[in-house]
Amino acid sequence: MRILVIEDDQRVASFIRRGLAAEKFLVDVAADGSGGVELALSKDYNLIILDLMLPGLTGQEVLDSVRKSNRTIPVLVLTARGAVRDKVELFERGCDDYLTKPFAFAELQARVKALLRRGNVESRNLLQVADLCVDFNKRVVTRSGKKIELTLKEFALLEYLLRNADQVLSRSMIIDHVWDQSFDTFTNVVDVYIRYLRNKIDQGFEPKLIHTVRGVGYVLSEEGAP
Amino acid sequence: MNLGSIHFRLTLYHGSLVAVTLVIFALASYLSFRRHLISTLEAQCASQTNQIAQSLLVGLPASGIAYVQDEIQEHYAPEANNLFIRILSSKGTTLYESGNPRDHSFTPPQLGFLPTLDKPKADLDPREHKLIFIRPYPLSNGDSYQIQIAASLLPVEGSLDGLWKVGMLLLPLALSASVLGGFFLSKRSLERIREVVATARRINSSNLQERLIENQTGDEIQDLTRTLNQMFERLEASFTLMTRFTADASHELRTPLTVIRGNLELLLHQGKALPHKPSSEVSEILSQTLEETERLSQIVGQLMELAQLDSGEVKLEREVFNLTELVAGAVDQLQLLADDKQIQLHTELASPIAFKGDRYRVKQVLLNLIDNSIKYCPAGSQVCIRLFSNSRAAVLEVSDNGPGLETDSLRHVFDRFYRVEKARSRELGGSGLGLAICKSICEAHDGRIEVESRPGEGSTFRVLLPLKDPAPASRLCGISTLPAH
Repeated sequence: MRILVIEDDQRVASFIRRGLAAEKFLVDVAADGSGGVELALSKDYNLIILDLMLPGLTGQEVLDSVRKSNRTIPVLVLTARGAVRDKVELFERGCDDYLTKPFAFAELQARVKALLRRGNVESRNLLQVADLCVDFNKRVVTRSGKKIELTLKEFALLEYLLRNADQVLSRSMIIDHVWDQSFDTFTNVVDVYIRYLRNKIDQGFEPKLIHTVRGVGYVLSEEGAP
Repeated sequence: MNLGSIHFRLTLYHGSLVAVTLVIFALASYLSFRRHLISTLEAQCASQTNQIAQSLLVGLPASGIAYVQDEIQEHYAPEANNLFIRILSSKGTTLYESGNPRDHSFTPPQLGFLPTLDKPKADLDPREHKLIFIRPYPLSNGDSYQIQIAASLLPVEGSLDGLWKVGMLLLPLALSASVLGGFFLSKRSLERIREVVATARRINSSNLQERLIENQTGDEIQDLTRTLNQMFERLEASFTLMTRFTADASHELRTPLTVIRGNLELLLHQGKALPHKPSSEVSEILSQTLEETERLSQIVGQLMELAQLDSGEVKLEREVFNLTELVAGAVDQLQLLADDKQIQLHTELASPIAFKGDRYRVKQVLLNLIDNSIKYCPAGSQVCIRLFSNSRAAVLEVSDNGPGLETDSLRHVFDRFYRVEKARSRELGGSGLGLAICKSICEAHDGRIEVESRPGEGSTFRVLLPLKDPAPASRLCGISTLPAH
């Protein structure tokens, strides 16, 4: 998998490259807009990470030229602003996902993976991790064969964690997916729901499946936190 | 009428001054008129006694007593003129004594010969309503006489009484006319100050570029207007500077924060794969640092949001939505947090209210207020969310029966980074910016937010959002027409 990072700040670009390289991605970095467009058009990338504030061509112009020649390549935008209006505008202009600076690397990684998996998302109706089984059609959850009752929100949360098993999910990603509207200042809602979910699916069972990744979010995994 | 206003005080001072002047003037007139009347009466008595002495007593040895008596009776007719005349001699005999005055205005004085008297003297006897005048008259043959005349004071008192009545009638009339005049005069000159005050009051952080209209009158009010305008100028300058600083600073902080955060994560998560795996202690320190970095990121994000709201850089996405539904949705979202702390959420929501504004930001205010109540109230408390509207504004109240706030805190609760209980709120994850953002959002909607609280009696946060979407020019008036609480 080849990823292009268009980011003028070397320090940011450098840790993104190192982090993604550790995940076995091939990473190219362009330090300005025109160089980025050149690279994007010359090589076959699977994903572009694009900073909106660039010298020379702006991120927006880069996005426009990339979209002219390639309508399908996923573009993840890095922006300094998190206003809802900016978000809507970005999606309208052809970005696929966005992250507000400063972001957690784990979140970048999770979003990158989600974008790359797009189209072949885990869509089976029956999923199992360790001895936890979920039947999404019948909305039935069992662990060690014992049926577990979940509320609607708890079920939605579990579904999101499960379909992204082994992926670290940030609180804001969870909120975006599980709740209709983002209210990022109230991330402790997520913590409370996670606690409820843990009480139901992890308490009294081994191994524990829901893990806290400090400073970032949560992951559902058989192996423990990364 | 405001009893502390300059208008009231001016009228009061003016009225009192006029009243005191009028009373002093009236008293002085009364006293001098009385003095004048009495001295006229005295002079009359003096001249009559003098005539009696000069024309009658001087010839007494020759003419005899009977003649003198007849002449007095004839010339002065004392009873008819309400006078009393008596002539005594030093030998103790009474030469003449008239009868009682016809109008019985006084009883004649019972006075004997005064041996020590050597010059005329007048005695005022207001209680008996009479004036007594005595003139000693020594004859050349060694005999000595004293002529007593008593005159009634009734005519004098009548005149004074008339004057008193006129005064009592005119004084209040003149006073009220003057107070009324003063009231309107001062009102007229203060009207312009009131205009200046009203305009100045409309200028707030969101329209600091506006100025007062300076009328070229050359008077104190023009001076005041110009001074205020200069002050607004300086305020605007420093406010812009502050907003720009906050925006720049938070913007500049983002990139280093991203780098720090990213590198910390790499260290923490990829370090485990290194040949020398970091100790659990190092991992713990890295995790803690990462958590603090995340909090710092949040604060920077909120500061940025505040700066954008302040500078008006971010336009609100105004759309018409159902406020009641939004409130119900927000309460629903936080229900779990409340249940978790065994706090009961009650709602009293009015029938659907259509509101034009930024749905996301209004919800942010609501979530923030309810979340605060849940955070700071002990388990088992009650939080009540009330939404109602009058013709002008939608009113949203979040009240709880929690610990409440000290009067000191009330003033600062919407200030940036203000924390009521510093240690506790940090532990609960607050950034100290939540309520400041709420305030900015309310103001961006031409509304306002206020708080009522007493220690131990819970707090009520009230958000007032004007319902009509006023035109830009009149949008400021929208604030002042909100109902006062």
